[in-house]
Amino acid sequence: MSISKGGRRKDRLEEISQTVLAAKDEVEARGETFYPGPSRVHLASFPPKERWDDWVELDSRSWPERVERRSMLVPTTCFNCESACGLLAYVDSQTLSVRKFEGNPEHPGSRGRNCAKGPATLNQMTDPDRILYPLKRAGRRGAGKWERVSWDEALDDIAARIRRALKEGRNNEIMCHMGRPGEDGYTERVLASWGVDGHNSHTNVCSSGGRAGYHWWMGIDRPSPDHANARVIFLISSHLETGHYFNPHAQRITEARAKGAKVIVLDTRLSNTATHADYWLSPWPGSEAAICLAIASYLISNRRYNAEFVRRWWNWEEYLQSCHPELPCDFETFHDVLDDLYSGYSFEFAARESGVDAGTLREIAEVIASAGTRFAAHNWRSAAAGNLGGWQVSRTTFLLSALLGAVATEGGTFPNAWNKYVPRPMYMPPHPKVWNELSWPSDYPLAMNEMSFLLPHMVQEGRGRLEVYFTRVYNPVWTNPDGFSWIEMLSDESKVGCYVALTPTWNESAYFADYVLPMGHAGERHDLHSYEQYDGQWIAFRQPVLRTARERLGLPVSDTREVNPGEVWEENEYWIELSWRIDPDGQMGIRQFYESLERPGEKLTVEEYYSWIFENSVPGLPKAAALEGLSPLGYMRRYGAFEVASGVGQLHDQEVPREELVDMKVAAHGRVYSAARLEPSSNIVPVGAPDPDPTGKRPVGVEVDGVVRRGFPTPSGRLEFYSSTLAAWGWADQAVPTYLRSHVHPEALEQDQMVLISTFRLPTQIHTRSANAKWLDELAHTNPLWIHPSDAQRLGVITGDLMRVTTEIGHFVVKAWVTEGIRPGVVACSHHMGRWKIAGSSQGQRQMMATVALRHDGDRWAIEPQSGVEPFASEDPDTSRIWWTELGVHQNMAFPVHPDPVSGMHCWHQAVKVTRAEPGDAPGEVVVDTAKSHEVYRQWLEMARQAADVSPDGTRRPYWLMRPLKPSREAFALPAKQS
Amino acid sequence: MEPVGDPGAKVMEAERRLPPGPVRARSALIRAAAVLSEAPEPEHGPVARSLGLPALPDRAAHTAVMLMECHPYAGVHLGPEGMLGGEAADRVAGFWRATGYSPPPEPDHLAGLLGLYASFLERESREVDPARRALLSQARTTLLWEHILTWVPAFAIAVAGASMAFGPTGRFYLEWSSLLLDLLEEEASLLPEQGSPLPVALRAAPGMPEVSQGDGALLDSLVAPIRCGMVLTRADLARCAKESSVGLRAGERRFILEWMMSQDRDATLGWLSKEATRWAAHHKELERSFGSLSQFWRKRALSAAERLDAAI
Repeated sequence: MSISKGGRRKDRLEEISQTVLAAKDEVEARGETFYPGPSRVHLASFPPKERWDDWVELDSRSWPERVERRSMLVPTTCFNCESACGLLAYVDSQTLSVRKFEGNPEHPGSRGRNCAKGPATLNQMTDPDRILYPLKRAGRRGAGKWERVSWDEALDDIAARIRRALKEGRNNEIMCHMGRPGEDGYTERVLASWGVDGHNSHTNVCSSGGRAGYHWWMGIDRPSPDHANARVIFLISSHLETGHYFNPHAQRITEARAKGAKVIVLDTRLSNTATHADYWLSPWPGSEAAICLAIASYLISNRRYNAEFVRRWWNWEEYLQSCHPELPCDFETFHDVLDDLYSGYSFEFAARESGVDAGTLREIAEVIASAGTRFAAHNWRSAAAGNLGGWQVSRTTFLLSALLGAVATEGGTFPNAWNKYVPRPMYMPPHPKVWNELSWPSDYPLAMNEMSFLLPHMVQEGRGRLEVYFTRVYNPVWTNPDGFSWIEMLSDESKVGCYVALTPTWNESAYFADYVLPMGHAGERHDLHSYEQYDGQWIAFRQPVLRTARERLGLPVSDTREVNPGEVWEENEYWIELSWRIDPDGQMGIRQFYESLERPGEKLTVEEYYSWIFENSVPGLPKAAALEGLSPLGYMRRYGAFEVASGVGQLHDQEVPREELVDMKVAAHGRVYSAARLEPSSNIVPVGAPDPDPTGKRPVGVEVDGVVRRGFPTPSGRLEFYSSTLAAWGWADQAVPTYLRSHVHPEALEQDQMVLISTFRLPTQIHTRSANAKWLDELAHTNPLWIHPSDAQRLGVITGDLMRVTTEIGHFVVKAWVTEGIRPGVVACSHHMGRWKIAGSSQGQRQMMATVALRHDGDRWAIEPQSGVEPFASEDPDTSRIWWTELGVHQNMAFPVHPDPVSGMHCWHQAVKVTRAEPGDAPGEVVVDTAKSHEVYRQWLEMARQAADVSPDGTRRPYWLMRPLKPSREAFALPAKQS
Repeated sequence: MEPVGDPGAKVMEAERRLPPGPVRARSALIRAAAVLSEAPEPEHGPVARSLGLPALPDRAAHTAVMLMECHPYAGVHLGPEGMLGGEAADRVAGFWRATGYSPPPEPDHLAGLLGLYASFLERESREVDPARRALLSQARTTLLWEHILTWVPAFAIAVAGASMAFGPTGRFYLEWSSLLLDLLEEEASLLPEQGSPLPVALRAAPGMPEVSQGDGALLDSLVAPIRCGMVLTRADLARCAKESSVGLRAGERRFILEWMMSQDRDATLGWLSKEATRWAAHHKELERSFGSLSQFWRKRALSAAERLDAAI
């Protein structure tokens, strides 16, 4: 109860308030904040972190008995999609086993929330069919016969092969093909330490089309929309908002909507995101760029754009001088040219291309015009990954952001590198001195990423072979188009000497491996990750939770295999061990990157590796840890994440400090070069690397209205509306944002063809990685063909009828799902499904893989389903309750490769004939002629413009472009120049 | 009303523009008291010292008092189920919106409500237009009498009670709750009740169930402060178990009560009845400051005592 009364109370409060005021003034005079911000834990959702060492819950399964369960809560990071959401493992204090995974409230990106895939990590760890021990092939490749081997035996064999190849100068015969990395650069640095250009990614079947459009603008290949603070959210990426970045973005879009933001979704299919949109537009596939340009034209012609931002930050002067040298070089002239350039993109034109009526497009343009700088736009995969010229979809999407000045603004779209933090590790191996033409062929000099999906065709053409081919949590046979060509390559030992599948779960590719090596899931491995999800920078730490739990109890663990199931290992320790075995005496210069700094000559441990990073490369972390009496590593083990910065803002607008402007030179269009040495940054997030000037001075900024500002990592230092690189490398006609008609444009289709959209995802699965997660499998296990009622009526089919879908190289058989969620003339079939295992194999998943026969007669291949899934007895009683039998179809097998000649992206959309199934057709059946698939490869190859023909400087690729595992500059020289 | 953004982010800027004098000092005091309901950070140390409070507790003590025992949310105290969120919290969020603010993630948290109150106080003192000043004053009055005083006094009493169960580590929250109550009494005296009908949060709250509705309904009402007129914390229930000589089991409060009643129904209900009478006395004492609001709470507590006696 209150102890003071009336006047006494008043006097006392006045006295205290004066003291508070004085203290406040004193603190604020030091430039500090007196009132700390809100720090409360959301009471409803999360166990308070003070109780993470001993959290008590009642066991729901024991109800109505009230049985207490005590847990240690150990954070880690999800390893399913790339969002890197925080998880909290509930480790049973008695049994030291993981009881469940929930969200980590200390994670700045996911903020304690998860999608279904996060908690399902438990299913992945306890999967009764998972791979627990190293396996070696015991018959011919693909025969499904395996024998258990020791890690030592596998490592010695693989290391010996690599060592021999390196000693014989066959560096390009070593390749590691990555699935979604789930980490920032560790594996790349392993390959760099071996001196091989062997990093191969899945990005050109994934996001490189989207990346290209952003990269040509900003010199940075990913956008970071600040959804939570936007007034208008514009998405040509709905499957991203429901799939990849699902959780961190969805929660922020929800926040924005609660504050009144409008959401516009362009998606031919009614996606989950579209169902929540204020405007859902279902355009003809490939017409999205036409819509963006019509909106841009409206903004320009009505002067509804941010002219001051455009004047300051676009490279319009370079454009005028390069493309219109006859005109005066002033901004008003540029406005007129710009207006004229896009005047043909009327709403009526866009309506004809897209099938969306002009009135709706006009209304949307007005909504966008009203957003000002709070316009968050995002295109990822989706149309950019589906169409020939798809990269112009992201380029024209960013055009809208750039017109509105909604770049790195609150509620706008940031370059991802400003919202991402990649701490510098203790060792940075040098750039490899070789160039691998199998993954970076000079046919595609501007490809954003490795031409990975062409590998079987290039090997077949004799462009090279592989001695050791790793797939790392990746399934090329299933994920890529034209999977039978992959089977042909992987089955041939003359083409692939040794195939090593590093995977936690059985997959279609692993059947053709020589070694299958079991790797850990989210709670069984170390990784460090950061992702752009709002205007801030954070790192998240994945860790083997049972190892950390044991260490909390004072039980040291020196090798993660001691706590993982079976002999499942983590990759970090695996790569360290393999590298030591390749170079056991250090003579090859490899071992030095895996030696302890604390104990010279001894093997590096993961503790030392991450301790060094957290102590030396993460600003603020040592201090935050010290306040809690923890080491930086101890802090990350305890909380799993750390926010390095928030409210990063407009880095491009920052003034370059005077000390960096040594012997400064201002070149054409204001690019500023300096002789000042580049100080190594603790944040090594990848960005473009514009070339130095001829005297060797480095680009340091750009002069804007007489002030040298940081600018963007592009050759001009500005946002590149006009790309001098594209122009110089043979694509002058596409150097500014434009609309290219897709390979599935109506004019390109035969009369009886429809468009098949095959790229969309379901929010509850993630490719092959999530398979055999029983909760997810129960939610989503099949992929029927979405077809509009008008098309269904024309074909005389109803939901459940069998359909045959015929592509350029074969056909597949699938069940129909009649829905108004797809526009007429277009069909759609989701990703993730149609998993299979070969009949007679002793291994494989039983929850999500059909049993099939692989038929092979010359170039003709077929998948013939033999049985679906059924209940089975295992240590998990739920497997006896499996009720689903159908698993869909592996449609990617029937797609030929479609490399975009500029971005290199595989253009996923297919022109197909859709008919009723023929007698004898079985659901899930796939038939393909690989000779035809090679023909299609050759046809698309003809559209490419070879470096030898277009390179302006004798190099294979513009050096400034981002590239994973970038080789040294001398390796960029075309072979003719080298000789 | 003039729409404004997040008040927290604009506090410093707004305060810089404040004229020196009593309003600036009052708002500083209110904000300082408010932030101490948050989990303690090192930055809270100078704030606590300036208020003359004992040493800042550790986060475990905060968790024990403010997360496990007493919950600084309007929804918990005014909702018919005594839980977070719900219509009671939505009503507070609606007030934020109606006055031009975006509701924060937890619109009904004590810290947010007191911060908002301080913002109104500051804006009012800066406002030169008499009409707008009157509007701001009206908003502040509504906030104080409808969304703060309707539950915070009872919450403060509960915090004081719970703090005592934690010995020396609870002293901080004991003194903080006393300061909070003083502060609210002072604000209530400066901005008196306007004699309008009871706030809708109180009018809409159901009372105690009939005897005929059985023990289940009775238990539901005992864990909802606005229904029974008292805030029963876990510490209170431990006291009940000790004084009634019944066993105590871990679990949520309803389960604990149910378990105690299953052992000795009359003793448990008898203790609860006395507790309700004790709360009625607390409310009676507060009536001089909070008028009809405390009167409402007192009636609820007396009604609970009657209902509990009838159930024995």
